[in-house]
Amino acid sequence: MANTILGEMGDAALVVAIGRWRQDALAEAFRRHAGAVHALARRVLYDSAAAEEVVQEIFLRLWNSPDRFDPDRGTLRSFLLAQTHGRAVDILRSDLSRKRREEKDARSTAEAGYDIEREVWDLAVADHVKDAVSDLPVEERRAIELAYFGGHSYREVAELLGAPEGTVKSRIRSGLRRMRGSLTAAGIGAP
Amino acid sequence: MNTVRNHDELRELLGAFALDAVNAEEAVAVEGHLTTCPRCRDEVREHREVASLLAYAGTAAPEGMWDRLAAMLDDAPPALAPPALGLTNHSAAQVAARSRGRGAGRGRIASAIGAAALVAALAAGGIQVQSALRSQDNQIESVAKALTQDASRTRLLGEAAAAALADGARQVHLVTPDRTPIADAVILATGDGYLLDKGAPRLPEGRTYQLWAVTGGQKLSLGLPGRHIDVLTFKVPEVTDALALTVEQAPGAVVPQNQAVGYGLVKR
Repeated sequence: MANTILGEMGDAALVVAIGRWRQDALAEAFRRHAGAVHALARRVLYDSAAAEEVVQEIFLRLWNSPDRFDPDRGTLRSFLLAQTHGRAVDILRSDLSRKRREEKDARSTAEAGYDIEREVWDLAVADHVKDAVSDLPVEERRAIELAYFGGHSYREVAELLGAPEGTVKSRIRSGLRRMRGSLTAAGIGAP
Repeated sequence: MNTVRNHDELRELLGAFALDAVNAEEAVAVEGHLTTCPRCRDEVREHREVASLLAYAGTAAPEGMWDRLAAMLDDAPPALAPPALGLTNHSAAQVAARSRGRGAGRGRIASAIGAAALVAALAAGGIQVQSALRSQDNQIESVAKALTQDASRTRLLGEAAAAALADGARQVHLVTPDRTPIADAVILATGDGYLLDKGAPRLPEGRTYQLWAVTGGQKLSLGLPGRHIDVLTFKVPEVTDALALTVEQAPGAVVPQNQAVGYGLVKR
């Protein structure tokens, strides 16, 4: 099958092709999503070599176990990024020295007021995402940044921000919902 | 450590859960809850979609990364060693997926079934489970997979027998170049098919049978029975002229590298 056809395939069909050992289908999935996977891994790990290992692991997982992707539970990008984040945080948490360093960075970030907009600077929908982020109350924005990009648990975030755990838990959830509302209103995101 | 008990408490955790910011106990509790609560499952999906927008940096992966990955695919795909029953992990997963997903619509890629489902979902969800717990999960998954494969095989043999009698079912007899039977296949009107052994010899280590659909001169891989053809499910394209069986270097080939050892015409 020609690559042009692969290029037109939806995620679900692409993963079916991967399940049939179509390496060109994996290459197409890589072309679509590896940039985001790598960027997220590097952002969480602050380490390009480690980020590349995560990229390889995530796409090897897709190659070996494509059935783990369930299109009813979200897009392929979302699936791959969730896997990426889980793996990156795993690495981060298994490396205590890195964790301590990250905590230090995160603490100073939290104190300085983190500018999450920098993370979404080059996307076709970047303006809308930036708007959605900048519309967040600062407490919600910080909680999400520390959890997602800092790889911290909500308990650690609570400690870093000096806020009750229950409050941080709620801020993360309400912030994500608020962003979704903004993005949906702007016509962005999955229905 | 607090024990999460009720629905409201679990719902409050969904945002943190979606960002891998909960501990192992909470992750397991939420994941278990998600199997029975579509509303919360949708919410987690939505949170992850939002997170995926935040994560995107709009840049391609660094140059050369695909080449390095592709080289790994060629040399040593790590999880493709044929397990018991001669099914590769890949085809076993497809067996599991199809046994649950049949009738649920073409193209749907279902999760693994039974006990493996929760364990697989834990891994698939990208949730943060601490190393010790994850190690236990892996052990459970291995056992669950073996049990699932055994149950799947029995069920598949029954399904294949029933399929042979179904309306519109097409029988395909694969024979070697000297006309010796090597495998039989049944293809249902839906395109779902079953491949059954008919005396194919067990292959040496490092080799695998591979089933192909021949359609318009092209050959599309349908699955990998492994070193021994036991029973394999597959799905054929709407227009399939023939089924072909080759012997390839494990874990399989993207396009056939060898002449067919078995071949059977699919009647329209």
